[in-house]
Amino acid sequence: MPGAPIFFYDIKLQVRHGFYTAYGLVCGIYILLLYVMPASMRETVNVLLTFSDPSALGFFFIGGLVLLERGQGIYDSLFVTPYRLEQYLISKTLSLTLLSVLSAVLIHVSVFGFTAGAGVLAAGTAFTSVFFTLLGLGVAVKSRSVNGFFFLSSFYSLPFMLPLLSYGGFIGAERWLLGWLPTWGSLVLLKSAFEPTAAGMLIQACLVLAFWSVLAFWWARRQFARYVLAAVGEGIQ
Amino acid sequence: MIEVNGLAYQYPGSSSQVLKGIDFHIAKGEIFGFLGPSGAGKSTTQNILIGALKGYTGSVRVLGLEIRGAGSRYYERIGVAFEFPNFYSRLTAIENLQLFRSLYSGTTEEPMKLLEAVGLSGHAKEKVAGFSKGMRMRLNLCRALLNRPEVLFLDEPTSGLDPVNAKMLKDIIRERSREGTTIVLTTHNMSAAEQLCNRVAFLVDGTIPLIDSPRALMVGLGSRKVVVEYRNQNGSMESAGFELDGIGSDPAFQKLLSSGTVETIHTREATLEQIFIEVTGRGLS
Ligand SMILES: Nc1ncnc2c1ncn2[C@@H]1O[C@H](COP(=O)(O)OP(=O)(O)OP(=O)(O)O)[C@@H](O)[C@H]1O
Ligand SMILES: [Mg+2]
Repeated sequence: MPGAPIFFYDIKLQVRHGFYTAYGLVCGIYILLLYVMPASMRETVNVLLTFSDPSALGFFFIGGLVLLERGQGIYDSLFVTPYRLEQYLISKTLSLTLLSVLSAVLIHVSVFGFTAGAGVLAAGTAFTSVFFTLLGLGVAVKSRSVNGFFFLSSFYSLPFMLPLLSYGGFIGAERWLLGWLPTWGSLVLLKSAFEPTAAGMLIQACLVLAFWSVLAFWWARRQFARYVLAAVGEGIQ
Repeated sequence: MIEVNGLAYQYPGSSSQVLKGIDFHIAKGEIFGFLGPSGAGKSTTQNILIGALKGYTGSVRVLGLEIRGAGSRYYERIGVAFEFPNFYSRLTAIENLQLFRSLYSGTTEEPMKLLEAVGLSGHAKEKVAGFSKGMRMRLNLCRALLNRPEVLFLDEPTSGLDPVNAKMLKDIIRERSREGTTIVLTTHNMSAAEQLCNRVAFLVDGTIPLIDSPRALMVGLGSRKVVVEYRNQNGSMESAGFELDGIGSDPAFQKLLSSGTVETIHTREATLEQIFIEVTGRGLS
């Protein structure tokens, strides 16, 4: 597939811009934190950290990348090649998702070892990362500056943090109240790494995440076409 | 190769047309220049030709395709160098070219060869962040040449270059045209256009009042006069003008020639810039 190698350049770019170093640092701090806290809290904190990692970091890192590429005026030249917008979105999303999954698994395995739950934790992280990366991308292309991005991002991401409020008790009635949010699905998947979870819950979690990811892809593509592709050739000095 | 008929364009949300029904044809292997003052519509024309602006009226055919419907296949066959040479600044020159090369599925050039051709091979492994404008301009041309394009679009290709590098780029552009690449360039730089272009189009207020070869324009519109500079009896310089027609039998001209005091003889051709002003009633900058 033409454009497939761009995935590796996306990773290279992230390395050059220090993303891997930053994630490494964050991982180190998280692992330390998990070690020093009482063992009884570790599982809950691991779920919350793993949730915040792709959702918050992924969101802001893609925002950074988009603002950077735009600031460097890359898009003009990038999109007068056969590179298609869909390929761009997929490559960016998957490369950042890889980083999220790697760090989530690293944190989990360093503290709990290779548990059976590591797989579902990785899946939950991947799903969450895909959704938030696309959401962050859609917000970033609209923003003119880093400040603008931060301002807009709270609008767009806060509603998705609702399931966190009821974290712990939400598996009861909240399933019907918040169960349509992608982050509800994230928390269910991540939590299921530590406790047996009904198949119905897992299926609902996956479906809702898949649905929102597709929606986010469609929205990001539309935002990108509107705010970036329409401006090709206007030039950034 | 490129056939444009009745091309009109209006930016969405704007109340007036930027291009008002222009026509031009560009042959294979030709170097064709758009000249015009700022805001004339040069970049708009280029952006339509490269498929970035779609909502035009009229017909724009490049490589046998109507651009309105051209997809990513079209980009396999054209190369574009925008006016501002932008790159991933944390990647090296060669990494940037390799990245862009990976986007093409057809045959591509070896990036190192391109860097050699523009004198940048010694800087291949340096980050673009440290490059000067001139170095970026040269790298920009390399990027546009990666996919061996059949049509090459260049916006101000020699801006910010010193004379040596400007000549190097002009030589590369000429060489590509000899090999059959069609080259479309836009510029404010009259002398670059004069040296490079087989034909130029004057673009003013979204219309094209004139298309011709720079040579024909300069000869045709210049006043047909010969100016002779010579030293008079006191040793200071003076000049005299003679009509070019019938100059061989002009006694005053012959007397001056045989006097041995002549320092220079020039025909007075109009520069492209003067012609532009004469035709359009406008300066270029
Ligand atoms: N995105 C846009 N939306 C609305 N109007 C625009 C847009 N881009 C350009 N214009 C207008 O279209 C006209 C032609 O602009 P264009 O950029 O094609 O000129 P140009 O000949 O390339 O000028 P320059 O030599 O300065 O590059 C100008 O009046 C400009 O203001
Ligand atoms: Mg322009």
